[in-house]
Amino acid sequence: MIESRERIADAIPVDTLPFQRLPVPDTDGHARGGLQRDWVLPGADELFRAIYTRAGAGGSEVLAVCSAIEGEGRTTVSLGLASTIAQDFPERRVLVVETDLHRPTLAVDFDVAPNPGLVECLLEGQSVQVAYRSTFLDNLDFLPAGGPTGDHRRLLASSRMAAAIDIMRQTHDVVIIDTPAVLTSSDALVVTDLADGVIFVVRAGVTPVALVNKALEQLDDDRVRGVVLNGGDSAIPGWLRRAAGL
Amino acid sequence: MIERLLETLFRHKLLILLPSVLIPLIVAPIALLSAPSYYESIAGIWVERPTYLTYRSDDNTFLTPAQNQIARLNEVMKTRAFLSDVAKRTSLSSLVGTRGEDRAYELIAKSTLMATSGSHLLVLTARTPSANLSFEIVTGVSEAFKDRAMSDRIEQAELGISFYESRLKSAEETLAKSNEALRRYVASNQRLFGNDSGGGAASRIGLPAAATDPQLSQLMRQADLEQRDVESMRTSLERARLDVSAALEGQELGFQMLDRPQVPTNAIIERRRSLMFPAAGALVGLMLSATLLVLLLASDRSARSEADLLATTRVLGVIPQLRVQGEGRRGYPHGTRRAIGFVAGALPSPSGAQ
Repeated sequence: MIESRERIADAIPVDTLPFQRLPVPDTDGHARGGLQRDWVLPGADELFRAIYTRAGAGGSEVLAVCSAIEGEGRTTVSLGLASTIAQDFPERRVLVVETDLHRPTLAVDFDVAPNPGLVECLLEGQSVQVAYRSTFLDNLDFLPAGGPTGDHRRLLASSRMAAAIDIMRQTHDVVIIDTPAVLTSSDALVVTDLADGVIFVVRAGVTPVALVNKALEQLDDDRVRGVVLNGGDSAIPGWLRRAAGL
Repeated sequence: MIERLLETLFRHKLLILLPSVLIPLIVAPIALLSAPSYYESIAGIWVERPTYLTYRSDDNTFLTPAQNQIARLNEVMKTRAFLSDVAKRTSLSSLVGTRGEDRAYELIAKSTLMATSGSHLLVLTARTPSANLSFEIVTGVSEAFKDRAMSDRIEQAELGISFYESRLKSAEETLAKSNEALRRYVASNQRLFGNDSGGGAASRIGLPAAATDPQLSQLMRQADLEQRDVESMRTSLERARLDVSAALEGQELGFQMLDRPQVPTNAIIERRRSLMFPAAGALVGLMLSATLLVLLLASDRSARSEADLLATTRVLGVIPQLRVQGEGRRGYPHGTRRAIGFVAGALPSPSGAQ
C-alpha cells in the first residue's frame, strides 16, 4: 500500500518514464530525493489549455470525451484536459471518471489498485466518493472503472449512473468523463447524454472520416463542442514544409 | 493534394522505398553471378586495292576500302552458302547438313562482329562461350571471305577471257571467209590483174585493179575491216588476261592478314548485362514504389488534418503525437498517457478502501 507522496514517486517505474530524479525542495526548504513533476511533454499544457478554452470548458460542468473507435486517445485527452484545468484553476475541483468498462487503463496508468471503482459503486449502490483517488494536484481526483470489468450490460444506462453523475457534480466543479467508443459501445451514447458537453477525439491518420461522421451523427449536435485531432503532426520534414510552402 | 502525397510518402517511407531498394539489391548479385562469360578472338585484316589494276571495280568510291569490304562481308554473311562454308571450317562442321545447321549458322552470324579501324584496317571479332570456337569462327570467316573473293575474281576472269576468246574465234572465222571470197574473186577474174598479154584495163591506165572493179574494192574493204576486228579482239583478250592475272596477284596483296587470330585464354564477363539487370530492377522497384504510393494514397480515407474535419464539425485543436523522450513507439500511447497522469501524480484517497 502506498502511503506517501514520496513512496508513490518511488513506486512509479521511473525506467519507463524518463523523468529526471532531481532534488525537490520541501516546504521547509530541505531538499529531498524525488521526481520533478513538470510537463515532460513541453508545450502539451498549452495545447490542452487551447482546447478547453475553445470548448468553453473550465466552468462547472460535466464533459464527456469520446471517440468513434478504440485507441484514439480519449484517456490521454481526458487526463491532459483535467491536469491542465486543475493547474490553471486551483480553486476548482476536477474529477476524471473512467467509464470504459471493457478497456480500463486509469488504474494502471496511475499505478493504483483498480478497486474500488465505478463498477463496484454502481453494483453495490455505494457512493462514488469512496472510490475517488486523489492525486498530487490537490484539486484533481480520478475515478477508475474498477472491476472486475467485463460484461456489465446496461450498468451505465442505469439510474444509479445518473445518480452517480449528480454526486460528482456536487463534489467537483469539472467532471471529465472518459467514455467508451461510440461505434463499439452503446454505453457511450448513454454517458454522453448525461454530460453537458462532448469533446470528440479523432486519431489522425487512423480513423476514417466516414466513421467520424457516422459517430458524430449519433451524438447530440448541441452537446458536441468540437473535435480534437490527436496525433495530428505531419510526417513531412520541417525543411520540406518550409521549402514547399506547405 | 501534394501535401497529402508527401504526407503519405513520408509516413510510409520505409514501405514505399522497400521495393526500390530491395529489388536492385536482390537482382544485382544474381545478375553478376549469372552474367555470361565469352571468349573473344580478333583478326586484323589490311584491305587495299592495288593501284596497277585497270579493271573497273564495283566498289563504292565514296567509301574506304575497309568500309567496302565490310559491306561485302555483311552481305555474304546473310547467305546460307557463306555461313555453311564458314561452318565447314570450324568444329561446327558436323552440324552442316543436319537439323542443327540453322543454329550453327545463327551462332556464327551473331558471334561475328566487323568493324573498321581507319580506312584500310578491317577488324573481325568472334565472341562465343568457347575459346576454340571463337578462334575457329574468326579464322573461318576471314578465310572463307578471302577464298570467296578470289573464286569470284577467277570466275569473272574466266568468263571474260572466254568471252573474248569466243569473239576472237568468231572474228577470225569471218576474216577467213572474207579472205576466201576475195581469193576466189581474184582467181575467177584474172583479166583484171593483167595476166593476159595485153594487161588489165586498170594496168593500162596506171590504176590498181580495185579502182576499176567495185566488187573487188568491196571485198577488199570487208577483209580489211574484219582484219582490224580480229586485231582488236586479240588486243582485248590480251588485256583481259593481263588484268586477270594482275587482279589475282592484287587479291593476295589487297587482303593481308596483319593480325592473325589467336586462341583467347581469358574469358570476358559481359558487363552490360550485369549492369542492365540491376538498372532494370531499380526501374521496376521505382515503378512498384510509385504504385504503392498511389495505392496508399487512394486507400487512405482517414482524417489527417483539420481540413478533413472542418466540413462536418468544429476542430478544437490538434495534438501532435506526444511521446516521452526515450519511450519510442513501443511505449506509445501508454507512456504518454502515464506521463500526463504523472504530472498530476496519484495519491490514494484518505478515505480509500484499500
